[in-house]
Amino acid sequence: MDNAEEPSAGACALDPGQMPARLHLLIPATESAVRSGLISATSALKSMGVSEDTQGFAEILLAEVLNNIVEHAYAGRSEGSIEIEIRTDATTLRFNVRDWGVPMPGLALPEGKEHDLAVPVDDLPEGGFGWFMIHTLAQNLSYARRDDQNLLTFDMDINAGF
Amino acid sequence: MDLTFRDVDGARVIAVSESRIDAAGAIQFKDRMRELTDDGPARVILDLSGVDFLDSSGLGAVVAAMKQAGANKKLELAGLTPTVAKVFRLTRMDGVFTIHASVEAALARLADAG
Repeated sequence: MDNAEEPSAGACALDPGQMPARLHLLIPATESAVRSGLISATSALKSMGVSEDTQGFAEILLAEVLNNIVEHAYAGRSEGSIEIEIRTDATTLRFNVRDWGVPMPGLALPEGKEHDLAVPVDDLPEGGFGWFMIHTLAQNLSYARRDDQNLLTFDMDINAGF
Repeated sequence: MDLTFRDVDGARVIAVSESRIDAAGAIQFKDRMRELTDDGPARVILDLSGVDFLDSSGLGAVVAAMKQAGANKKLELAGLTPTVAKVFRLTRMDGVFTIHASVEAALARLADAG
């Protein structure tokens, strides 16, 4: 994980079968590739024996993380890569997500603010749900900037309920 | 974004024929919803039973669809699949929308819908 050179996108490797298992995905930083990557990751979690509920929570969490990278880390860039690693053991899903885009503002994770929903329909929020869901779903969420890379790591309890 | 509609018992039922409403499709979803809610009945039921996944962009587009339908219309949701229901619950948007188990259940509650 210390190699600062950006690899070419498109690789995919999966170690199926019994847990512990590991999924490794390298995708282009585009909305359509995020969609395909999520489908692949969720399918892999299923083959690892992860429950449907946890597959759903993991897909939501990973979607928000990846969308944020496409929209912000790679804003205005036509090319970029995102590397995703998910390791599972009997109790935990452990995620490592790496990109080569611009750093998080202030080199810190955005807060996940809860919206006030007791407002007239016209004032309801249409965005800002992403980081709130990330903070709700992820445990041990941490961000580091290393060389030209953003490294995001987080866990999810394999029997999580929210 | 493939949306189809039928008018039943004074309600417009809009079905989403795509399995995902996500960042890649949210804007098209919102635009198509505008076309389908600009005219037609005041009660609109969005059938999400064919949607396996919705992200925060998709959620924002559903909220936008409710806003753009205007004060004289009511957008209700039906048939949330498990992961879509999770997104509504996590964001507490399940308390903002009227949500029915299915289109059939929504139509059966016609008398209560006000």
